Amino acid sequence: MGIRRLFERHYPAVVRFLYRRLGDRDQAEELAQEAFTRMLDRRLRRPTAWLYAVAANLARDAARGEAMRARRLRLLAGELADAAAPSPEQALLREETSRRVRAALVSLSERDRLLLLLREEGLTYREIADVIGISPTSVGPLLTRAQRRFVRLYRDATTEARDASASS
Amino acid sequence: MRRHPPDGKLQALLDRELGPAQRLRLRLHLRRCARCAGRYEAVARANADVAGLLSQVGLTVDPAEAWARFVVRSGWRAARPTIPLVGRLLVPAVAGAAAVASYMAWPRPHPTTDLRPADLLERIGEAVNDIVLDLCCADYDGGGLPDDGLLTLNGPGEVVKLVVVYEDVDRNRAFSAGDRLRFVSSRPSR
Repeated sequence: MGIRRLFERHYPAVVRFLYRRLGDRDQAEELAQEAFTRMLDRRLRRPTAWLYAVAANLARDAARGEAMRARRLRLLAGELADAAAPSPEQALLREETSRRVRAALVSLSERDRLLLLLREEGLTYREIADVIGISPTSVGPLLTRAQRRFVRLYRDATTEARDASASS
Repeated sequence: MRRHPPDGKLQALLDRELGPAQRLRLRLHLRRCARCAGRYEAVARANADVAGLLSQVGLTVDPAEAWARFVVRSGWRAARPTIPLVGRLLVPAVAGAAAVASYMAWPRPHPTTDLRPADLLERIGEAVNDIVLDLCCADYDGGGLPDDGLLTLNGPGEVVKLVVVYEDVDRNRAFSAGDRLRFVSSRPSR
């Protein structure tokens, strides 16, 4: 498959995958472009798995950086400020949900996060296994557990937020 | 299916990751086992929950605009036409065959073991109209001693068709039967 077809097929999903991991659209697009640039002139047997593995590594490196941490704090502060600003109720609720979802994702282990996000982008168990470095038969059981943890983390955060607003 | 399937198997069924036989077995089991059918529904609900939550942090991307940026970023490498697999295999194969054919068609150097200086002298002697140039002596073979001779043969107005490098063993400063052949090569004359 040519690079253009791969790009058209996977670019939006790779950006989404990176955005969900990093919470920064500009950086997600930048890293997705970098992943596709690295793909140029390569003859890959399983390009999808390779692409997501590179994207996951790039995201991990980016998340480790001190600059990224500072940037995320600023973004979070911005989000909180936005949430505090008067806006339509639905938009506020959506913003709050999005923040909690991202917080739940961040709280997951690297493997659980990858499992959820890669499956959400439609990768097969074999591709997911290639990216994470596990056996394809392990994907189903690990995915089930990751989903439960994620939903539980999100619900706990929601309950905490309700309790906090009720007590204030 | 005697045993109850684990949740991972139910997840794989939901994700269409099972083979037809396994899928059929599991479906039959779910039809008969209310407990597992309930578990399957719970797994499906968890999937729907996760999808719903992740959609909260989704975004839309315009691939056309991104492609344009990518082409520029890649230094236009991304826009280069790609050669299909057949072409990638065929081009080196044809080039290789042409190279081999060309190599085979080119006259081989005479193995020096097949030829004695006396034979060569006889051949040169037969070519009465040819021009013989005998340059002796210098260190043509890089051995450190100026004891090598260079002999060329060509017809009048023709390119050189025979090149001989010899060691002037008998020290007579010319090619003779007592010398040792180091290299004999012939090229086609025009």
